[in-house]
Amino acid sequence: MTKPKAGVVVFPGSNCDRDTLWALEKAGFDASFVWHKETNLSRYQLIVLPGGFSYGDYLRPGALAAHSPVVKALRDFKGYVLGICNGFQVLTEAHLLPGALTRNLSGRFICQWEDLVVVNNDTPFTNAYEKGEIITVPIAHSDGRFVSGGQSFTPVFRYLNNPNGSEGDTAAIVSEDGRIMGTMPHPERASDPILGGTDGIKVFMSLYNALK
Amino acid sequence: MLKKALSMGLSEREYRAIVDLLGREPTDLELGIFALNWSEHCSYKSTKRFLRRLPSESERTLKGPGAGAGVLALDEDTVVAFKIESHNHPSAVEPKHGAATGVGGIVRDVLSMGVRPVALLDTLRFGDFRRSKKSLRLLKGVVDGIAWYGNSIGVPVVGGEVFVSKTYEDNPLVNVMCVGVGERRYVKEGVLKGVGNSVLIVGAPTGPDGIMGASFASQAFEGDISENRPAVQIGDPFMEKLLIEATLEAVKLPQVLGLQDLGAGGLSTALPEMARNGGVGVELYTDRVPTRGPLTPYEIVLSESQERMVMCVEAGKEDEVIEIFRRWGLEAAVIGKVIEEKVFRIKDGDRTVAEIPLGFIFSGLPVPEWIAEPSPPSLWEYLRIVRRLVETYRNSSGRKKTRLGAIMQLYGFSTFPIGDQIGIHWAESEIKRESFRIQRAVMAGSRDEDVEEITRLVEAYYSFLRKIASSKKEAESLLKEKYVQRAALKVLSHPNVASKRWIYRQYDHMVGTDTVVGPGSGDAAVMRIKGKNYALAITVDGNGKYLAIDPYWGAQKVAFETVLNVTLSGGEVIGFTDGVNFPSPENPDTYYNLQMALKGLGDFARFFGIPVVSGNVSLYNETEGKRIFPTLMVGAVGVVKDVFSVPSVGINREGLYVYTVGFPATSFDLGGSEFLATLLEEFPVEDVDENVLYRYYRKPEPYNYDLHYLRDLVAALSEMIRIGLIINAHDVSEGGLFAALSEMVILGEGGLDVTVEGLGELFSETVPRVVVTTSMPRELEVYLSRRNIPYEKIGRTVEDPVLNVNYYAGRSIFLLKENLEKAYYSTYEVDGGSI
Repeated sequence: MTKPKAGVVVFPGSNCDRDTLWALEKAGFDASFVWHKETNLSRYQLIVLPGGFSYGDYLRPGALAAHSPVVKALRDFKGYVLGICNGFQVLTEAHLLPGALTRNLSGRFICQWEDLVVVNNDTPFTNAYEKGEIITVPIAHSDGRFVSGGQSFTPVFRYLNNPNGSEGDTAAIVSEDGRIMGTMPHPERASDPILGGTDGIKVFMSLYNALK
Repeated sequence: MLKKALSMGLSEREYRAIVDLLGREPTDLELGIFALNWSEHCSYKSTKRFLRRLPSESERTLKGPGAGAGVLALDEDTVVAFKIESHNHPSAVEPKHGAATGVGGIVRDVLSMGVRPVALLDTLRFGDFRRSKKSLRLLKGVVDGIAWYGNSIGVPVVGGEVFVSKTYEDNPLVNVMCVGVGERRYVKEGVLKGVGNSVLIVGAPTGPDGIMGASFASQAFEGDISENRPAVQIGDPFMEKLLIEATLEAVKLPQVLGLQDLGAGGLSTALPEMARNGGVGVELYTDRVPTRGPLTPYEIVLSESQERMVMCVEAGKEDEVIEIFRRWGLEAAVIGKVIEEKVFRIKDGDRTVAEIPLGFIFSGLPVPEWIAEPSPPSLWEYLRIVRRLVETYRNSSGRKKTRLGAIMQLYGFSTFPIGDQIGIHWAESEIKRESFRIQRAVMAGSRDEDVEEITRLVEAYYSFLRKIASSKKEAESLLKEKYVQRAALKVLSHPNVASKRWIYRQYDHMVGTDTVVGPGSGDAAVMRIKGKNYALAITVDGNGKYLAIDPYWGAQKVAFETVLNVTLSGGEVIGFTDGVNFPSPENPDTYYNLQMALKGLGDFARFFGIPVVSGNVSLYNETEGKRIFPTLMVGAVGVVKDVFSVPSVGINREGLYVYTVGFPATSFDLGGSEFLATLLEEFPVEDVDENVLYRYYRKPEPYNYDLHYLRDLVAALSEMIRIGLIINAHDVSEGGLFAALSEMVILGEGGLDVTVEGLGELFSETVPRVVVTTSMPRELEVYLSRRNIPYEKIGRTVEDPVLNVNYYAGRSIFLLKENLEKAYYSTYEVDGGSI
């Protein structure tokens, strides 16, 4: 059986690219890096936009990356797309997902474990979870307060103790067609018992299930 | 010209030496080059002779002091590199950018060894931000800067410490330690070699920032420090992140022969140093340096623009290197050439604008001869400190008087002149002698107010002394449950003890997915290395108040604390890095302290066989005569062989037996403790310089710090952890045993019920002790008895999350976890509540 192929985009300023690659490989993927100037994504079944500070997050987090060649190429990409943290910000800036990620209510960067509830397990990103399951996954962001701006959206994970003021306690959402997910919590950081938890790796295992 | 030299921080003697060496007046540029290379910051001219005596060799040492960072072998293929560095002066002026560029600088130091930076730790000193708005602004700014820079470059901040004291009010300290891990075959050094090879500058373009910054960092503050803003560099973490990735690609190319960060002094110090290391000379072409806007050769050479590195690359093979940096959107240009003649020659087009033989820079510096002299304790000075205590005591009455008397008694025990019967006799005779002297002065007719006041003081104190040894009533009053509980919670909420969660929550401490034990949860940070069966334990510690008590002992205490932290995290220390932050070496007692502190560290490191592989010195941390504590910070890196054996701090099982390991502490050991400081707050003694106040505290009995004993203690703890005899472990440090026990309850699910003997045992910080729990008390006792290591069974773990401490003849304090958490977590919530 061939392994499903995943590409982890490397923007200048990405800093969770290697972490995400490692978690994908752990979940069974054939994963490799994709340079931000790449426009041919046809060999991948999954593209992950990792956390970090793409292009230094100048202007607004994700704003410059939304206009990068690789993100433009995502518009014609038929596979699954997962945006983690900065990747989520890029996806909303590119209007591939609804809403926007704005400054945390505290105005500060917050890095800590958060309890989340899985509100939707009927997606390729969350099929390995139970609906209503409570999971613990770290967040690390300054701009993670989700606002819909009146657009309709489908939440996937909700915070139990909203850390940043997100609308409807939203931590992660999925596109209408279920093909694109954005999550502020970092599933790759909860992918090894030695790091304090394995609740996050089920995101990658779900994708593996959906693609194998 | 002399005036210019002085304004650049050179001394007149140094300026004369330059003219003598060159046989002519230097040009402005040459003068600047000398000023930076000879600055305290770059030359270590005041400390070199002491630093040289620190041991740096071990079986693992690959690169020692002098390199960008120390490098130790972890296994045949893997290395760890680390160093600590200060950015104090810039942070005082511009806290956010000063701290941020401090992070950038130390990260590049580690990167310049050819390894990936994987962890940062910060060690910060401020005035008490609860009382000082200025200190609060500095705290917020510094944390903001470290968070901004560290988070952006994706290097986790996994540990650190904060300590407040009035002595840091005008001179905050910002030290950052960086640890990198990489492959041995790609380890680089800061060297130019092979005549004809190229010198490349890579990274950000050069701008006119931080001109003469290293020279600024080598002087004490006077007047309005904001005038120094132009000497502070501005960093760009995005550039740094790109530089990290590009550099790590480039070091794999065989044509990259040497690599060095452009830090303090910029090109003016990096190029001569690299040339000297290779035994060659160097020619620099300033017109080829990529710049932001037009700059003069003077600005180009002296600029401390951030996010730049210098490389030595084999001639003819530069393009492949340049291509890597361009792909990452960075500048890369050939700016110079390795030459045979051992000079530093700078050309602007065809014009030679500076030419200095390297020998002049490195051997021509007249070594300053500072005087080292301890300030001997003087009874007079001591009496001046206690004057306020005595007066307040005498002017109060009733219950308050009893209480103040009790505090004075405790203070008396903890300070050496009357710490025991011998001390009391000594003090009595000294006082008598002084009384006679005063009486004679009075009889001779000199009746000024001072004499009268001191006479009164001596008499009052003398009568108090006689009373002190026998007073039971007062001792009892201090032991009241209400008072002890209140003082205990005050200790727990003191900034030096309380949780730093508000700080580390702003740092990304998990990026890299290697953080096994992060900030706030263990005695040391534990970082795994993917693909290896071992991990790293990393810690940094430094407590100036102990060095103020005694520099030699204080330094050993700091070093031992790091060893203990690593040991309790399941590791064995393989190397130290030292951060020396002191006032001006021109003060004889500071210079003495410096010498003794480094001797203390050296003797300790030699005895334990731990090499000090890197370090940093920052002097002149004083403002208009107000000096910081003599502050020595020690960073330690250890290897953890079995990550799963790391004992936890938090109590999660009931019915375990709780022990303290180490000699017991008594009321005589409260000197320098936060507990005593809390009690003394009831007296108006704040105007006493803490450097003086702490000089009179007693050290613990010498057997506590016998190096053989400490080594046995570490070996025993290490083995007991390895064989699974210990379930929880936590060392006793700031806040004493009470703070350690509180943290064990706060960080776990269960509770503790313990019995100790008196306040000394509960609150002393100076006696080396460790709290451990075990399910096999007999085995533990037999094990420790056989090795002659003292221990005491103090209680059991309980199911409920509470802390109950019986501290004296049936008296106890009982605290719910919520009470502890409130005291522990709220101090640093300086944003007005958490979200």
